[in-house]
Amino acid sequence: MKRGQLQIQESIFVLFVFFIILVIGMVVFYQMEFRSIERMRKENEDVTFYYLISYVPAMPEVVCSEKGIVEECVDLVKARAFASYDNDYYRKIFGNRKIILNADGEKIELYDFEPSKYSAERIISTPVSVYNPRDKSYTIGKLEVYDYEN
Amino acid sequence: MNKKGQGVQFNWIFIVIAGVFVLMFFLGFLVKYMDIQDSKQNAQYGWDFKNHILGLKSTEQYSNFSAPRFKINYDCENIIINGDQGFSMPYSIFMEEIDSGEILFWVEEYHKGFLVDRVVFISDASKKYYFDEEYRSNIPPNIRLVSSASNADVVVSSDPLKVVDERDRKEIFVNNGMIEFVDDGERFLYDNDFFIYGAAFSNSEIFKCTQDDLEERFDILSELYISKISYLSSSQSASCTPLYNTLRNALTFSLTAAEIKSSNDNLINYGCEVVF
Repeated sequence: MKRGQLQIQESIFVLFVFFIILVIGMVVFYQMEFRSIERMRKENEDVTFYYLISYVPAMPEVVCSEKGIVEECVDLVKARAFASYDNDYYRKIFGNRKIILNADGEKIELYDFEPSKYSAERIISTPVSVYNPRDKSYTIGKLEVYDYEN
Repeated sequence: MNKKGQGVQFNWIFIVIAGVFVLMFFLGFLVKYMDIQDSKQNAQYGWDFKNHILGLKSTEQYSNFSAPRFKINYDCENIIINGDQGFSMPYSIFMEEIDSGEILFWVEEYHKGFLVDRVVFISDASKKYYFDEEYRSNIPPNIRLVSSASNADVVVSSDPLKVVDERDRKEIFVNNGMIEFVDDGERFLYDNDFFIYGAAFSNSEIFKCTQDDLEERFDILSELYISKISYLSSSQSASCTPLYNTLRNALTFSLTAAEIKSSNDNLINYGCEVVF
């Protein structure tokens, strides 16, 4: 083989190795990017999850009201009615979550869509004032929101 | 040309071809990188936007949202940021396409005898609105109100002389329990001034689907209240039963908001527990 041909083959080989290193670098870079996007998605889903704890007790479906004026408490009778109501309407709001109200020694499942498979479960809870219209009494209840990660 | 000269020429061709490949590779990488960064930014705006709405929905309020200028579309189910990222938005919203960095939010309760939902009104904060005097009292201070229809981007009026189909602005004509989007001629019945604001903040398509969504929510809540009535009528004195039946009928047959409200308010006059 002539000296010139040898030099060209050497250059092609160098370029080939250079491209391989570049491709590996890019794959690693994109993986890091996608990981950071996934992290961002999780962080934002966390924010949504934490907002739910203040959104749920204020929903018209469970919130107390008298003569149309909303009060800061959960109506026990409305909560029971809501728990027995099966409607896909709320699936788009709550997604893969479970919401439980513990009040008066009773565990009321307001919403339940627990996926068959999940990688992690998180729970947040908050005390809520619960009104029982039957005897017009107020008690302290606990609202729990379960979040399922796939 | 001698052999040495050919060799030098070949080297140059090789370098140019290899250089073009390397350059294309880096350019492709750069374009893809910029796409990813844009998508990331759009996703972040979308999440911020969605969480902002969820945070606002617990109570009646108003606020502004600032970000670098971006475009938001809403198709009744999703918001789409800069034509790229779509985010499901399962809440009642009145808005139309926005291309701005300063966005205003206004959350207003919709009642039809009882609270049905807190609806979010979203608009470009720089938009100027003209409303007839009778519709101005409920409007929060972050909305730019103008006193003359000729200066406004959106005109809402019962006066046919103020809504004359001018091209550069949106016009809503309110007349005889009917809301008309002058631009496309779409008309809707309304039973609450709340929908007049909804029309000012949305287009006819969004208006219709949000109105339908609120109707669905009203039906769900009516069912819940009918369950509550059954529970209360069994636990209250017998004299309350006819009153509860009146309210049950008002909810079952979706009577007017005034009839539903008065049937509920009447309960308290007879010492019976109100339903809502």
